[in-house]
Amino acid sequence: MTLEELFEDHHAALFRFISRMTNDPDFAKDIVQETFLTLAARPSKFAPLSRARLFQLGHSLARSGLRKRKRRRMLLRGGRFGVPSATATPAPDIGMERAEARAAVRRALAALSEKERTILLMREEGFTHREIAVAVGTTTGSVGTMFARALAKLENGLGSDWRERP
Amino acid sequence: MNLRHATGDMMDAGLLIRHLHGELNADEARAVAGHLTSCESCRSFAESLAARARNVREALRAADFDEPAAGQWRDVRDALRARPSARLRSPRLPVAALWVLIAVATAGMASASVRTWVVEQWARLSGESHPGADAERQQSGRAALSFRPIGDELHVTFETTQAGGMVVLRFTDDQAATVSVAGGGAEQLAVGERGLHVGNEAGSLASFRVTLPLGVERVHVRIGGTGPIDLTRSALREDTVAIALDSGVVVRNTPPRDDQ
Repeated sequence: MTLEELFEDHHAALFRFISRMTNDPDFAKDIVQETFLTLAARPSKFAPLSRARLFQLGHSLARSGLRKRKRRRMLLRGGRFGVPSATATPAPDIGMERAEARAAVRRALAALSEKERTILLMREEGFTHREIAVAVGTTTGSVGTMFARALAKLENGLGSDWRERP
Repeated sequence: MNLRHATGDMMDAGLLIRHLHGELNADEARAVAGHLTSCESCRSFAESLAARARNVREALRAADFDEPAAGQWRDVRDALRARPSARLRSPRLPVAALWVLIAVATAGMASASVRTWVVEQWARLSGESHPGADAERQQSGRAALSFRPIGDELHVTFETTQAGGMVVLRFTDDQAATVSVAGGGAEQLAVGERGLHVGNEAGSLASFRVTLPLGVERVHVRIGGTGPIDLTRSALREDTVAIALDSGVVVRNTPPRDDQ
């Protein structure tokens, strides 16, 4: 499989994963590009490549990028950095209610710890507990418990605000 | 595995999640399924966990950012195209190993008694909420295959947690087979001449059992358009075998139990 084929097969899923992780689509797009360009620069380092390794590389680059951004922001403003806050400012093409519903979900997701968010979102992308355990540095057997906890926390955070009113 | 009620009222949530995700081995899964059959509070808890997961999935999809337009990926596509050497290779086999493989393959072809079976599975999707879902969903499921001789027959059980509008299990062989569907949100929609169509909207564990004549010695598995993988009966008798495909799909064998 060439890198081009790999890109066509996985870039949309990787974008979805990173944008959900970081709540920042522009940043996610940059990370997806950086992930594939990193692979292109040193393909032998990552061969044979699996989908899990691709996502682990993307996740690692995103974490590194977030740390750099955090340092920059703290230097500039002395502010706290986490996941960018989710506001209900509507995009030009969607209504206020839909924007509020989206913002409610993104707020609830941002309230999870990074590990909880990673476990939940990797699972949503179809990874096995073993692959998730490798990515977050835990045991395979504990992923189920952590997933259940993240699930409960996210659902509690969601409330009913995320559903658009009929 | 401890099935005692961790909280006094119901089973441990982590264990149930592992069960719902198809992460338990066959014995554990059987034990949990048996308990859920007889314990209403645990069954209800398991159903609430599954409902919670569906609710969260729905919420995440509703809040997804739009994928950048195709034109915005032009730079990275051009960069990847400009690197002809960037083909990803698996480690090369030594020449001696290649000769051994050729010898084994030749010997296998000479044996007319070996009967093979082909199982193909992929998702056919409709109405997914995010762009590019069709291609990706094919690659995001998991599948477990167990291979067990029972009496004069061979039972191949294929389990998947692949979410999507429809899962199609296709089989090709000139030998007669019977197929049954059980478990999860699977709903048998149609059995055609060459395959079985199963609805699996929830992406919950669906189980397909194919009963083959006992003479079958090899099973070719093709999932999500990749493969095929050639699984011999002897390989399937070994301890858990995990095969990760390029697509990220993992085929796991659950070793057969000798007591059946």
